Amino acid sequence: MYEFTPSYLKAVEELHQLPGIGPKSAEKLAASFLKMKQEDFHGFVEALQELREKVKQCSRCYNLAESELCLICSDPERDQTKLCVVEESKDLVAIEKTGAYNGLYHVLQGVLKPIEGIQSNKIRLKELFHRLQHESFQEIILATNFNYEGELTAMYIVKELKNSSLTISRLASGLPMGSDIEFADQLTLKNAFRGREKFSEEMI
Amino acid sequence: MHLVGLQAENFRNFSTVQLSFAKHTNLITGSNGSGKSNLIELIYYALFSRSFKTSEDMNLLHWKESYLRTQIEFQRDGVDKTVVVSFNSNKEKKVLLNNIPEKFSVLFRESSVIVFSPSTSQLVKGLPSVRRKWLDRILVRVDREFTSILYSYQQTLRNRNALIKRKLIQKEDYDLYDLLTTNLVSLSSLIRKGRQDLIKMINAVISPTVSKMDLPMFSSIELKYYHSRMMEDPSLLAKEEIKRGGTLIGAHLDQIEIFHGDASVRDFSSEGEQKLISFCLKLCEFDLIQVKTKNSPVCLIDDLFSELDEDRAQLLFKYVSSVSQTIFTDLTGRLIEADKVIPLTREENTICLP
Ligand SMILES: Nc1ncnc2c1ncn2[C@@H]1O[C@H](COP(=O)(O)OP(=O)(O)O)[C@@H](O)[C@H]1O
Ligand SMILES: [Mg+2]
Ligand SMILES: [Zn+2]
Repeated sequence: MYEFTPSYLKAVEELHQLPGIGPKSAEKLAASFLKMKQEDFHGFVEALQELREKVKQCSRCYNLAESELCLICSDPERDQTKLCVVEESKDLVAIEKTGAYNGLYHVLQGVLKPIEGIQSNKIRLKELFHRLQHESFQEIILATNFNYEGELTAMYIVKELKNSSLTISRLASGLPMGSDIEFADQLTLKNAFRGREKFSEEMI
Repeated sequence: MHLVGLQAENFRNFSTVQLSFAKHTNLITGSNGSGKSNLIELIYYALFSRSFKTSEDMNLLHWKESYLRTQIEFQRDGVDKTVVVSFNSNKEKKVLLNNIPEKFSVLFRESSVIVFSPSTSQLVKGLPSVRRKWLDRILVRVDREFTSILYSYQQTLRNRNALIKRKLIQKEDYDLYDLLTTNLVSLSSLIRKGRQDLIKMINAVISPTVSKMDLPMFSSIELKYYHSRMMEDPSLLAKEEIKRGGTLIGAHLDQIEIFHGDASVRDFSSEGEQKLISFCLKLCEFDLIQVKTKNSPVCLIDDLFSELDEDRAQLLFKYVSSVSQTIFTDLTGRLIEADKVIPLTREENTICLP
């Protein structure tokens, strides 16, 4: 029986390993690479190589960065007393687009998911608490997503900080339960940011 | 609300179904094994994308077929709606409500159905979980908030169990465990309040309901709610939970018992009495859903005359069909007139009655 060539099959196999790419899509992608103009293909490969070589994480907030510190952490104009905690860099970007916030961030790189074995040591929580001790924040804003895990993670942080003098608030109004920050439209997110709720004892 | 039409392919013994319903009474007849119960199950599945008999959709695929598809049209408050469900042997399932993908919890509120079937008596005879689920499913339909409470509860429970199974080694594990315990306890109290309020309402309508069925001897039937054990010494609880490998407190362990006077119906009543009481409880559900949602649910009654004696069956039928669209099955259909008759035979695996 005739088969595809080995290199073609190998590429399909590798593409299939990517998240969200099924066997059919993998074949489509492989075929379209073959059809690409040579210079377009080089551009593509270069972009991927650069991504791997240059994009690191910020050593302070764990956002994506191309140097030791990300652009936000190295910006002296940023309000150093406010810290906004998000799940992923893409949430940070969504908030930045609203222009409603001028403080610093902390990217958790995930949320608590005990069912999947993701406990506090698997995300950047220790690093968060370390920062809260060593930097001079006055307010912390919890902007994890409004689904079960996002709420759980926010509650966990509140619980761990119950003896601190920080003002803790949660992005609230306007965003329905179950919504992801990344997909919230900018106006809602902006309003949510302005109307953030202070955590009080009863809320936990 | 009422059902308008149903189309299906490869569901159980049916290869194709094309059917419209009469607005009031619909009778499905046919000998044993002709597919009456399957058709009732199909209607339910088409509305909710779940069967009430099995949690394994693979069982629903017509022998050797690789996919099934259902489409049902119904009308509620004058608005037409369509649900399309497709499922294949790769276990891929798609659900569309008016052409938009939807979740089970949404479908569950969209349409309203009450099923009376041979398994109805499990409500009395069955494990406590049957009664808990019954109450919760009523609450989900009458109280939007309850759905999210229940969802959060289930998530909390699953997460807490997962954490316990990993034996709480570090301090951080304990902090998370404590948080989940706090959440479990507060969500439990919300669930308990919902269930207990509902039980009060059910107890209040039992007496008028049993008189509709001409069963005055059951007017003192009463549901009682029992809390599972409360939080004891938290450190002891953690130890025991680790030893037993799961959560030992919370509303998912509560019990609901049915009493007739001082005697538990589960322990002391006859099979026949248990069946009658189960049907009466379902009728209470019917009444409450109707009052609370201001909408009469569609009644699906499987084996009307073999589950109840003739008088009782006639009373039940008369009562529900006076306010609701009713779809019922019977071997012969000789005892009741219906607006539409859907005859099934064992040989035929297609229905075409548009
Ligand atoms: N997945 C399936 N594919 C084909 N036939 C099935 C499937 N599941 C059940 N059946 C058949 O459907 C027939 C009718 O069942 P049922 O609806 O219970 O009949 P009735 O209620 O009329 O007595 C049974 O003989 C059973 O073998
Ligand atoms: Mg049957
Ligand atoms: Zn940074």
